[in-house]
Amino acid sequence: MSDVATSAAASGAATAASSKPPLLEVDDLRTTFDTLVGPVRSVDGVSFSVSDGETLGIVGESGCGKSVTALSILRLVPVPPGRHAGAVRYRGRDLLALSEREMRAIRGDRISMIFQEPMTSLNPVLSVGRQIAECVQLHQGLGRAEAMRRAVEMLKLVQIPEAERRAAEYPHQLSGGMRQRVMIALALSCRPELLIADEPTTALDVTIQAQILDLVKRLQRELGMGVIMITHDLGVVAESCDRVVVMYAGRKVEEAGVLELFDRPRHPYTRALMASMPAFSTRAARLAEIPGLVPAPHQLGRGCAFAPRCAYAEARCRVERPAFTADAAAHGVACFVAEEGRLPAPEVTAEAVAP
Amino acid sequence: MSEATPLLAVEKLRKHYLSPKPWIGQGRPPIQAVDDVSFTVERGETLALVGESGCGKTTTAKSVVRLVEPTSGSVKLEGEELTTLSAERMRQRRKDLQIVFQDPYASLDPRMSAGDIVAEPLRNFAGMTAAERKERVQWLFARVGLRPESAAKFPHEFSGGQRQRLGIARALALNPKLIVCDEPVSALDVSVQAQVVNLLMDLQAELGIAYLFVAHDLAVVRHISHRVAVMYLGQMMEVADRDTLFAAPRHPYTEILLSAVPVPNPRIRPQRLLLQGDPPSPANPPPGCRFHTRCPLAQPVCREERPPLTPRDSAGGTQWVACHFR
Repeated sequence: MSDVATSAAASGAATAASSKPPLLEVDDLRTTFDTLVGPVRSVDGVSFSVSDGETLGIVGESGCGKSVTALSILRLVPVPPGRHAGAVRYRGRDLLALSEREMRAIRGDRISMIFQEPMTSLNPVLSVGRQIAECVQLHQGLGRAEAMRRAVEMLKLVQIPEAERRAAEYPHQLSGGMRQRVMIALALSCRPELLIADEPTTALDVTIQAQILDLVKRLQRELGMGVIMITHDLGVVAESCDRVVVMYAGRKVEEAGVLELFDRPRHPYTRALMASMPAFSTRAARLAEIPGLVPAPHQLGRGCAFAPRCAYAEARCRVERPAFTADAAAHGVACFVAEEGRLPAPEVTAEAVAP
Repeated sequence: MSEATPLLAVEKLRKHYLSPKPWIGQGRPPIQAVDDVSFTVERGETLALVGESGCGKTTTAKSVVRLVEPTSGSVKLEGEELTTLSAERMRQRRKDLQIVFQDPYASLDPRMSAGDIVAEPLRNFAGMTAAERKERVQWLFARVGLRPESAAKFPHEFSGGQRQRLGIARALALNPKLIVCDEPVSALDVSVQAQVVNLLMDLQAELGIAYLFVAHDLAVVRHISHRVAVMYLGQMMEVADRDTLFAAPRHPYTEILLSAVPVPNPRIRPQRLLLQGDPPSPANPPPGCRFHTRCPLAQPVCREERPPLTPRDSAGGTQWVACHFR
């Protein structure tokens, strides 16, 4: 009962303050895990913000800290072994300072998340309708029957055919694409202000991916929510994001509007990532390789984390860590060479894509 | 499909998986994973087999190397029928026919050193002395971009990309004519994926190996292949050379599949053809054209009659399409 009260208060506060503190501000977030090899900093001083109705993309390869960033925002990182520092402000309130009970009222209600693998994130012993109903019962204080009606409504919203019948089915009875749609229905059932989508389409086929991305975009327009789209696929970024944060080894290395980023990538890592994608290169040519591997977070040196693989690295890059600085067009980069304007023009840009 | 004998000729391949017989009742109908699929691979060529999960591309690839025994149909390597070979003769034939798997973690024996993994095919077939073997292994390691010293290491000590290189070195050991690549780069990060794609292309240019390349990533397919075959629900929908297929797809399914790929250019907002619903179950495929339940062009004839894969004229050579209307 008091959960419901808190939740109502939280959403009330949110709507009242529509004049309004920003939706989400992540400020110098650091997430550290205590492990046998010592403390490992998976997210290292990451800052960004998301406004209402905006889609922010977070891109990077596995191990770059993009998922841990998402989990940290929702405080889903187990503490211990995890530790947070910095601030995650939702409408001006620091989520990292809330009690677990206060956090629970926000999680799934004001901010919700969809995960990469729908099979492991849905409860196998509850029917999908029940799972959605549980969420709205808890957060919105609806009665059982009313909640079930809402669940069916949500399943219709995400275009599940025969929603009434499907609501009684269990996750194993659904296809992968349908499970992902159920998860979206679940995440949106309380009409959140912010949706965090962690590789929502990576496990899906391209035609299903197109359906899901289209669905998220449509629902975002209808509900006016902010979206954080976490992905490794620059195609998904180009299509669905307004602004992009590029991460490497736990740090933000570049941030820009999506057109600006694809027209003028400034960080050597962003450029290398673009050049290594088959779709960017001319067809017969070799793909550009990024030599070496993403470093393990406990093996990072003092300097720029990308320096060992960077074609433009200088002596300074190996000993000193470049600060993140933005230019007039709000295009920020953490790279000494780029900042001093000494990088050559990128060899490959989006222009090279054959339609 | 004429001229000299193709390196690999697959004809009317079928693989139906029977569900176990129940104690009572009828049991479930067989899963028609691959149903009447034909194609050829020429020497030194890359044929990509694309389609979505459950379309039968991996079953087709595994049937070619007889890791899956086909229900019926014919697989000929240089004109020799493989499906009826004795176990011993098939074992010998595998020298020319190797496979690289999707998951480099699961396809290497964790208890064997990297050197032993690559030397195993040599030990089984090549009749080499230990010294010759060692030399060949060193050459193979160098060729796929691994340090020869790392031969003493075990699979868990390598990264994902290096493990895939190890799998390629093993497949390469006996100088095969054809390597079946089952989603070889799907499990790898983009930057590492580029390294492995380049390696595969270099090896082909240098050694003239043909690839049957199974993949769902159309960007990689467009980069690596000479011809592309599109499968849907166990059947072949379209086969064409790469440029024709990507520039002028004919089958409605190919069209939809290509339009679904996100374009990494924010200035292009593609007109997307969205496919409604999910694919039907391969245990109970629709009659006629298997795509008709989701096809924007479907007419009554599509429900009744299955369109055969027939050649059409196109600028870049022959394009084979299974559709009544295209």
